[in-house]
Amino acid sequence: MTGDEFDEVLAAVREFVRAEVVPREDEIDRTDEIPADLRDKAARMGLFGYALPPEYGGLGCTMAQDVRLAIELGYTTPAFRSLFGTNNGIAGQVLVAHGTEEQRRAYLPRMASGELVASFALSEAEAGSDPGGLRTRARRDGDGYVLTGTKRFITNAPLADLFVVFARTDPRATGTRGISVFAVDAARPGVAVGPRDHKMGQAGAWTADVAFTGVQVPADALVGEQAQAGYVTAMRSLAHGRLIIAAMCVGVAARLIDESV
Amino acid sequence: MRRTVFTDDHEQFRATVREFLGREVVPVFPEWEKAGAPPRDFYRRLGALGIVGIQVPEEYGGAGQQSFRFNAVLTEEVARAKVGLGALRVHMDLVLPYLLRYADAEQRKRWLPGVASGDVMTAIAMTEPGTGSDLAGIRTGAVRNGDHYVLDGAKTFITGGRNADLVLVVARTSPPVAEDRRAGLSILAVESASPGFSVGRTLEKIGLKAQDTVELAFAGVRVPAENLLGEEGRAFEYLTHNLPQERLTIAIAAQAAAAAAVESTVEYVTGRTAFGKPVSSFQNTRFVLAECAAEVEAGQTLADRALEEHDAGRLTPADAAKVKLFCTELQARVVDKCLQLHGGYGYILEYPIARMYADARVSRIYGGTSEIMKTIIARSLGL
Repeated sequence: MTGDEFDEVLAAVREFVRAEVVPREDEIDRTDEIPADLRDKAARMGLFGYALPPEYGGLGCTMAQDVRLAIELGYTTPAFRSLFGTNNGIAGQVLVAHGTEEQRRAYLPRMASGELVASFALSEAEAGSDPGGLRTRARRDGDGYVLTGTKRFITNAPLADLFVVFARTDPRATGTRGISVFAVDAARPGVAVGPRDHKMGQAGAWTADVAFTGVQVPADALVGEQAQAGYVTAMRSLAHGRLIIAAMCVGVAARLIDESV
Repeated sequence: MRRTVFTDDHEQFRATVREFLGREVVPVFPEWEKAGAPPRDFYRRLGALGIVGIQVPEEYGGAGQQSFRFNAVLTEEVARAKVGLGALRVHMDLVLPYLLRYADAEQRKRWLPGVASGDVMTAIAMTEPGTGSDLAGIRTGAVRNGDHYVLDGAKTFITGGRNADLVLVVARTSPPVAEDRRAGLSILAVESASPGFSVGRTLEKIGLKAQDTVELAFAGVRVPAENLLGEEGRAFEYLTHNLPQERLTIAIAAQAAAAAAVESTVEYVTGRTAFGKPVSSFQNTRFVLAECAAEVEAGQTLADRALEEHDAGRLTPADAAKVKLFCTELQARVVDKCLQLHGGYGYILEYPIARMYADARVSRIYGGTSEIMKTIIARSLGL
């Protein structure tokens, strides 16, 4: 996006956040939910896909622009950005960088419009800081794969239509090797989302366990054309996400100073 | 290190309390958190066990203990069990000293038996919407009218106010004078059943979920003159006198909570694996927990010494401020580090460390903020 275009977007987001989201933080906290009208407005403004490429319906923000938006969004409850954070960030960027052309066409436009929410499913009960310890497996089955395993703390899982799932495809491999990425429709039989985690804060930002029990997916659910490259993919996406978290914190800090003054 | 403040009697009491908490509180504590306070009958149950009246003289049905050590044991065990007993500490450690020291013979006879049995629960109302650390700014007023006072005003942050039967209200009975803003304050024991006494909002806190904190309002409440505690106009002096014990009990609770956090984190990191080995085998985990253990040991020694000094009647306001400042800041550091070692689970409320973190935050605020503690300490340095 050009600088002038972006400045307009930034100003609109700033205005929306401060005039419409901030006044409703108590409601979001109390109901543990982003109200539907805010979600709709965010979708109309293109917030579900600002970091997705314009050829797939996104606004095509650069990393630097993404960071500046995150600073603005950090000014209000983190639950707000969380709603579209996985589409723009950790889940969306996996498809942008590694998806096949077919996958991008199938998912990104609907993600950008807010019609479809994608979740990034990497962490597990015993694999947090060490994602190489993941145990979810994808077994080759005819042309497709069968996924089995449980993911934990998956942001937006209760809303998700699509899971970007990391699973081990090479049963002999351990650690960071032999992991592949799959785009799994939430509606597939065997996908079950658990109850929302009862967190200390971040009300309105939902996380939950996601269980995959013998979930059959076609061969083209494999993200990218090459299996086994999942770990590197995950790390790249997380690196992007970390910069965004840092930017959000700048926004929170600015808000805290304003509130305290 | 071996602690030297407690005798066999205290340790027996500790064993009894520990067993009781494990059996009757731990299993139902999540319900108390949902309800916002323990059920009213729980205090009667504790009263029947002789716990509530441990410092109440025997003639009023208590155990007549002069020492604060039993209270300290109770506070430590509650923290160790990772529960809370609602407003019990306010009742036993904050309000009772006022009654014991300033109530006259007739007042003692009226109130102490119920206070010991748990039938009369108490609260203390100092803070107002416009006054926090600065008590001299109190505006709730009590006007003498024949044989009673007429009380008008509002209080906030009143722990246990929802269930209290008797509330010690700090009110202005004469206007402040220029040379002493603290003059003219008195303590009235107000029965919550009095017409005009109302309990307002229950404040929603980030932690201490099983302890209610409410607003109170007084609209022309008639308080009999015989409910004046001590002498008119001397409340500030009385409050100042009791603050060291309040600060000591907060310090002891903070200290015990820090110790409990270390204990439960040691257990967590031993059971959890990452990168193919127990989290406890990483040098960072070991270093962080070693730091925490050393801090807890230092805080324990300080708190124990303060407890001895308090029992000997020698704990000065500056001493109490040092202990509160040190132990509550220590709790904050230790609990934060322990939470970090839990990773994502540290943020999920079903893990005790998440609750301990939320509960810890107020330690540095209530009973006088860390900054007020520093002000008191600095004054003792002649600054």
